[in-house]
Amino acid sequence: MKINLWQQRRRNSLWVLVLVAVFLAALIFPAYQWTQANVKSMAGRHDSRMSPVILIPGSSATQNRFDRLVTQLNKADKQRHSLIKLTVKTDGTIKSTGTLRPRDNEPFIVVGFENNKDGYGNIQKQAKWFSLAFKLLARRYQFNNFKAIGHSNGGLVYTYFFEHYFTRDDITVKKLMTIGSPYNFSEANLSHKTQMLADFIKYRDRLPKQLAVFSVAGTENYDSDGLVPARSVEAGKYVYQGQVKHYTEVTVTGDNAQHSDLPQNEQIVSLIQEYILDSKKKTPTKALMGAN
Amino acid sequence: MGRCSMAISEQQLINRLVPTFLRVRQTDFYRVIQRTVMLTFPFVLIGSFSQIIQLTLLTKTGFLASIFHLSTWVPYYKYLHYPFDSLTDLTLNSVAIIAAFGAAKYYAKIYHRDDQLAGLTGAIALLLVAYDYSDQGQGSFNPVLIGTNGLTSAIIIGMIVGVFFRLLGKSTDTPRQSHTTQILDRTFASLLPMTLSFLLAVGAGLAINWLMLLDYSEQTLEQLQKIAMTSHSVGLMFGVAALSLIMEILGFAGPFQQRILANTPSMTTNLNYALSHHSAYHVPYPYTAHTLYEAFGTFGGTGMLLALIIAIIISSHNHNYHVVARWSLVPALFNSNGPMMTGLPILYNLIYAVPFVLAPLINMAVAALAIWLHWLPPMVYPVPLGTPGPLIAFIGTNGNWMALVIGMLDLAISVLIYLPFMHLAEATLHAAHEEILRSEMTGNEN
Repeated sequence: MKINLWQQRRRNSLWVLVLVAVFLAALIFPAYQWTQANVKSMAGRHDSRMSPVILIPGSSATQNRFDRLVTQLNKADKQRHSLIKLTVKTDGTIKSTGTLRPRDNEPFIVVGFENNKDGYGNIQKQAKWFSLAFKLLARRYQFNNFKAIGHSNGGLVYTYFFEHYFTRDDITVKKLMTIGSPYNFSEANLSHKTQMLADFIKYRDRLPKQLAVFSVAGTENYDSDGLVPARSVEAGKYVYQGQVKHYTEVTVTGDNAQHSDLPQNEQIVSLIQEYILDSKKKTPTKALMGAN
Repeated sequence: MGRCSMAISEQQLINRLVPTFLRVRQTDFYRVIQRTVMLTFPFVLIGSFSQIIQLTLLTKTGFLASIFHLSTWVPYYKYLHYPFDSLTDLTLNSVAIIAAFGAAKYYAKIYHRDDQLAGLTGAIALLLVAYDYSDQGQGSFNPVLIGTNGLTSAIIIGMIVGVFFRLLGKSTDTPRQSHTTQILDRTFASLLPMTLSFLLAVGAGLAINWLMLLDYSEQTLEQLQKIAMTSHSVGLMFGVAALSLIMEILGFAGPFQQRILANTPSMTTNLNYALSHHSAYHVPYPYTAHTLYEAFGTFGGTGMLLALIIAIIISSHNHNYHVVARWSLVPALFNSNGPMMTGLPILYNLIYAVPFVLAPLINMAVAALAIWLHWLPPMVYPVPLGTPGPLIAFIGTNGNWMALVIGMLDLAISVLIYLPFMHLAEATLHAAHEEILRSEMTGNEN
């Protein structure tokens, strides 16, 4: 009697074990497919030689903001980079124009926003919208690194994006250039930190460690580019300096140094060519350094 | 013939060891611990089921969610995890409160004190110790002290409360009369031990907060984890694995306890090497905590408890063992070992300490040998959360069939390691049961 009871119990347990074993066996094939697909996509991204330049225009500017910059760069660089434009609507849907030219590994991708208004609240929203566009780009173009350029508030959107949304460890951002970005808005006095600057500083340890940052300021007179105080652009050092690999400040003057003209300023075009784009041939600076 | 003689010697060994373990079992101290741990079992069981649903189904990077792409086709997928968050938090992740309650209650009961009040005092004393005195976190508690890692400290706190009740309280042996004055009498008799317990607990809580004791111990643990994860010395890695296993069976968080999902430098280096060379053989760091311990040493959670469950199902004669094993099988499949730890229980169980430490280490050694012989590449690719133990290495090697075979072999070896210890534990239980029957028959309750 007791033996029978024990056998009954054991039979029940064995049934459970067999069921679980069958369940486990049934998972083997889907697991196999998943890992094969996952490794394939990882390898694809790893081997990818695509390295786009992703640009964000400032407030009140559209996705067409950088057209002249790209034309000038193509002329100077003697090659035709593709120009792809994305607009993120307020509901998160994305409209895209332009195509990737075959064998172009360094396209320019401009991400604009339907709501391109000024103000910290809008910048936070734009950073969120940018993260959606970035996700789409990462899936579509399978790059493992990219370069970033932000004009005016675009640089602020990038800063917020890097601190709050950029968590991918399979994609690195190599360089960031912010052009006339007002890290302290229109506040020229650095002892008055805006909420945005305080937040940027608070979360600065989340910034990518391997990033090289260039902050370009334009000046019409000694303290402003006509719109943004030079001191506000300078405040970027409190966010980036000592946190990223390099932080370089550049001030340009002369023709087209007014805030909105900065993207087509000749000096800035050559700065982008030299510091942001991947060098195809030996640059003169390198040759000079070798000669010394 | 050989098998027969081995069986006899195993039986002889069991006969010799049972009285020793029986004596340990019958101390008051051990009885309180055992009953307390078993009290937590139903909460841990429910919490574990909730946790594996949360982890494998409702986390985007979870195992079942990944392989069936659940996040893309299940409606409202983003919101489905909320009910399970709260359920897991208040069962599995606050189980130490129940342990403090149990330890104080059972201790007071042995000495015929008011066990109800003692239990509640124990639970509140634990919460006082774990209270977070930061300016923002009003009414929040330290998760380390409240969750499964706080079991041991909770039992100690509960026992201290029990000791206060024993020394300062009055016996409740008088025949039960629910007369209000008597209830009030009993309450006042417990007031002194209650007050003392609370004062001591508040003091301990403040001391922990101000001296940041937990931060220090956490940092030391993190440091240890870092050394173990970044070191490429195989000997050190096996040593740290053994240390983790021993700490785990004593109810503490070992260095390898938190499943290390963050990429360590060696993992990243290995992955990049494998992606560049389109092969995982010859990666720079083939023998790491990730490639050996996580891949081959944690089937069913820490201590390879999936093997013990199989051992029980195949050959146990104990009714309770079968019930616990059946209920623990599904959580263990997804590497949640809580139900087995508290249900059998494995925690603080001297008999199971040996296979608990030995089985993972031997599995790791077998896997290291197979990798060394180039039978399979080390696992370098990402593995989803809550992947069933035998499939971890298979997925992490991009579906290498040899990894699956080695995984199954490891599981079989572990079952063989656990079997004799399970027989010993069963014999001890049986002897204890007979002892109770005998004492009941003679009417000599002691």
